[in-house]
Amino acid sequence: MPFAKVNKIDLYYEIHGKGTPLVFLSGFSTHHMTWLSYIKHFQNDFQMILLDNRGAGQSSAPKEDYSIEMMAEDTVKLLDHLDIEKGSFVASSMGTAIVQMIAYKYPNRIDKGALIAPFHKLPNASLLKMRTSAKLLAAGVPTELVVETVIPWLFSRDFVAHPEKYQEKADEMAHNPFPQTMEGFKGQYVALKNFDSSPFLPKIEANFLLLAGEEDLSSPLWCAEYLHKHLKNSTLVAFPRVGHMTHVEKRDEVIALIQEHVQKSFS
Amino acid sequence: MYHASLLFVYLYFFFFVMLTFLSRILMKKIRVNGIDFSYEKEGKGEPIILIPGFTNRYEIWRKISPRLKDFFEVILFDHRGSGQTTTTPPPYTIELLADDLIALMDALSIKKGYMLGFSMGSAIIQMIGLKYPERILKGVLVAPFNVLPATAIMQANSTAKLFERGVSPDLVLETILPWIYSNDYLSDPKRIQQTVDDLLNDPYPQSPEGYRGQLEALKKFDLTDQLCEIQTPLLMIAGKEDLLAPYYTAKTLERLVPNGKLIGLPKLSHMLPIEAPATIIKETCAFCQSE
Repeated sequence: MPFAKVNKIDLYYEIHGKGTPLVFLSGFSTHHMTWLSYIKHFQNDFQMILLDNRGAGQSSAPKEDYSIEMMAEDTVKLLDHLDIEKGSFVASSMGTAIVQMIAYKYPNRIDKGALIAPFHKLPNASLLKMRTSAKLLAAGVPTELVVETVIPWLFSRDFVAHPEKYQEKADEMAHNPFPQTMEGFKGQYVALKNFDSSPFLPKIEANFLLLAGEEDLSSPLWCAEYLHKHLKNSTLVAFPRVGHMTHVEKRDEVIALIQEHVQKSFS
Repeated sequence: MYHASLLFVYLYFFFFVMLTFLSRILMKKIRVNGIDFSYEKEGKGEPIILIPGFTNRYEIWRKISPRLKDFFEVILFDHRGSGQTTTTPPPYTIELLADDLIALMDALSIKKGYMLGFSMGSAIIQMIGLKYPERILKGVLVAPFNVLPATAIMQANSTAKLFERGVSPDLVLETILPWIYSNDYLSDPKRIQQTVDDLLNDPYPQSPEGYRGQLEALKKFDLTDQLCEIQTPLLMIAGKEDLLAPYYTAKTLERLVPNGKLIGLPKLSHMLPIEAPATIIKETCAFCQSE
């Protein structure tokens, strides 16, 4: 499977399908597998580029502080490597920060963006939640139990009350084939802690579709509303009774909305 | 003579301070509903009963009761399974905790009173409004909910599991803070540490049985279908950024109780008795003293 040498790291990526380039960016500590169930819905019309951000999945996790700028540069350099001039972006959570940064710093490289569970600045409660999760893992608490403390933070009340859905997700998270290293965790954490797009949101030209769960605890709806208020071109869709993992909880609706949004740009 | 009288003044002052101090840590005890209840009564006026939340004891009201006692006779107490009140084996129910409170009122010869309840305390007020409407004048529900969402129940369950595994208590306590404190409060690492230290140094920490007993009560609590029967005037005060009992639960209450009013506080989370005591004092006085 391919790696690109960018910014002095090995960046893992996968290409699926042919057509208009569509880059998929995942959230904090997660990797390209977030989007595996999306492949069959997009590969017929798009050249899907799935990648692991630095510090996650199979990409390098150098022991240093990362920044969202750095991850935006990684992504743009991957586009260079693939000879792609311009693409549209689908992203969740931390990935939405990277897309905002790309739209600000590399406006010529982005057509449209679909931002799921987006934020301009991650709330302190979420940052503390991440720190305590790292401390629990470092203290030797079994992954299954740490996952149990994280799931109610990421999913809605309906999702966690559904035994099969809950168990499937808990097993998937506890048996991640590419668990994040402590270096990757710290690096990405610092990037999130320092990210604040509020100064440059009004300068972003790209058209963003914002998809938010009304019961998101991690990046609550008011974050998406803030983006919607300060971006020049955005549409906000809020899902009732849905949490941070909107792309999991409302996958079919999210896919349909993304397709509609990104296809509009080429017509 | 001069020195002797000064010594007397000193001694008098010393005893006064000691008594004040002891009364703060040693609450009164009374046998109620088959268990020993710890309670405190202070101030003069119409009675107002301050009902703590899950895991709390009476000191959750420390920023509020000293001001309310200028207007009310304030009754502070610890729930079954909390503080210095007896812990019985789990499970408990909200109805049992409401019965406890009514029995405490009987024992203190309080026929009817105002009630100010935080979190789980707001559930107890709903139960009293249905089962004992003649005992409550008005209710103030702080960080209330009609049902605690499955996310909050799961959070509380996993906290119990972390304690049971012997994870260091300061770390377990820290994992709870993002659920209940505002983003402003959590912006200061020193304040986070101080909050954890205060919880660690609680002289009357809750036992695992008390935690489980109260949690079982919360899991089963749901009076949504009967809320329309509550005639008691209720004031709801809720943080718009509450993650444990999110704002929609307070809005549901407001929609379903016939006589309810909701005040939503922007940028605040669950721990309103700590983060918004002045608002609670002001709104409680205004609400209870209005016609």
